Amino acid sequence: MKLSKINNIVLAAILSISCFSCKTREKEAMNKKIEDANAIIEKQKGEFNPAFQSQMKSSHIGVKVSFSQDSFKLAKNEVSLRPGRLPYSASSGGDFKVTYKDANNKVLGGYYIQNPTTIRICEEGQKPAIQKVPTGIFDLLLPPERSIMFVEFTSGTEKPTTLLIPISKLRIEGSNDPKKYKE
Amino acid sequence: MKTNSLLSNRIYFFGVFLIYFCSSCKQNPETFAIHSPIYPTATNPVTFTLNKIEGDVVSVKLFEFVANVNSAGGLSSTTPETLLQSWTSPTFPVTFTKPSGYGSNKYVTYRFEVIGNDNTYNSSISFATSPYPVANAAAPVYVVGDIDRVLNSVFVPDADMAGNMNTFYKSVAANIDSSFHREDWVRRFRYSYNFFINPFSGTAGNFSAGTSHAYPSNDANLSFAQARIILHTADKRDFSDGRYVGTEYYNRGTILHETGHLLYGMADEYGGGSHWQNEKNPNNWASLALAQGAASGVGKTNADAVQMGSDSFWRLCNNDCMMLNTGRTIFPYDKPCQGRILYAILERSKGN
Repeated sequence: MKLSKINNIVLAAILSISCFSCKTREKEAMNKKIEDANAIIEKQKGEFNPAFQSQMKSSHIGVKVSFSQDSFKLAKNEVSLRPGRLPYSASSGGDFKVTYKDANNKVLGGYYIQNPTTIRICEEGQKPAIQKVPTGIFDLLLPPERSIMFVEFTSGTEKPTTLLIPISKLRIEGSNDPKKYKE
Repeated sequence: MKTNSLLSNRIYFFGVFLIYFCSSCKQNPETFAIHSPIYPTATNPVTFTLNKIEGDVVSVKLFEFVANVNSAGGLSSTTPETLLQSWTSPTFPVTFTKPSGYGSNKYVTYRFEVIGNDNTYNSSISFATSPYPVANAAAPVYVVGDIDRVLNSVFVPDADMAGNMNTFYKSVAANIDSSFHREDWVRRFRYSYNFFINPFSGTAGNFSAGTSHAYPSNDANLSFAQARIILHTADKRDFSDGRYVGTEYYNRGTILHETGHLLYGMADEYGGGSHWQNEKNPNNWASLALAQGAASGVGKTNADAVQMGSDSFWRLCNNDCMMLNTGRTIFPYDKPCQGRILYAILERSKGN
């Protein structure tokens, strides 16, 4: 075999292995990203506490809200303190914005959820997937802050609705310890 | 002479390259663990299984410790961690069966220690035995972290499974193992999810019949969870009301699609679906320009931007993404969804 031919074979082998190696390196980079993320999660995730319902080291509050043709009102004039941090983060997805405010109308926080006046049928062939429900009741969840006075709902182009939250009328779920509000 | 020298240089370079290439061939081990039955009674034998996704495993050890759990969820009489079994150069899956049950009111934690590629990895999982003594609480059947730091899913039996609870328990296990542990991206973060079984049943609504979901009686105790999934037997037109989703117990693809909404806040990727653009790591964009502007940042090109039907939203994920599909089949989440999933998991772990 001529030397130039051998040269070409060697070069071709290097090139093809390089290509394969690029893919491998890309995969390695991705694996590294995943390992780094898991290392962070592992450090932060803590341990499950089977007594979380009664010890309530963290909590959120729930208010029952009823609706009829986009008109909202409290279904019960009370709020319940429940175990666990508010399950949504501020950037949770959805098309329904919940904003909570203090007595001076100062915004304390908010999040987005699926519009509770709709249901979503994610099944093949269902068009449209979103259907309006005429009446119903949903749980409005909020952080356990005593300063919350008003909640505002905004959905699409609809006019915002504001509800007065009976924050002083607290009922505890699964605990006898009422000292769980953040002042 | 000059040609020979050039050739030997190239062969030398090729050799060095091969050594370098092969040295990177070893992969860190990736494994996932599960126990069976998922919610054992006091007398059920329990089998622990470790499956391998990829990588090189040198050895595996299985440890456990057991505590009594009281009606308030308090733990007592916790045993020291003990070694149950060890394996060297194991063939996967590795399994170990505890032949006698754990007894009543027990909270069991098992840990697989996996050594490979000069690293040590631990997978620690806890579960309660059935019945769980904490009143009105969902039973932890596969928990890995603080409820405030990981994502929580509660499986609720539909009233129509009352006579067939073994099928319900088996399908919960199958949904953990064959949904969350099978989708390629989610399983990479498999220790970011707590799973629970609710002791009280609900009833999934049926869109075709115009019925809404009937929530279980302990509904208020479940609002800590991001996802509440009612598994039923009857054939129904299922829906999510934003709090609960109903599905036939075998629809693993539907469970992954719906938890895509509930756990990570992802929008639908089909025309006529539910759309919004998340502020961080969206999987829907409100214009073509926004989608194309984001494309390179999520490993996509401008050509990947597709309008969803006639809706005023665009996606970058491919047609096989889980947010575009439901049913029995598990589809892999595409890159934009992967980014959102990782973002949501990290945010949750930070306490945000």
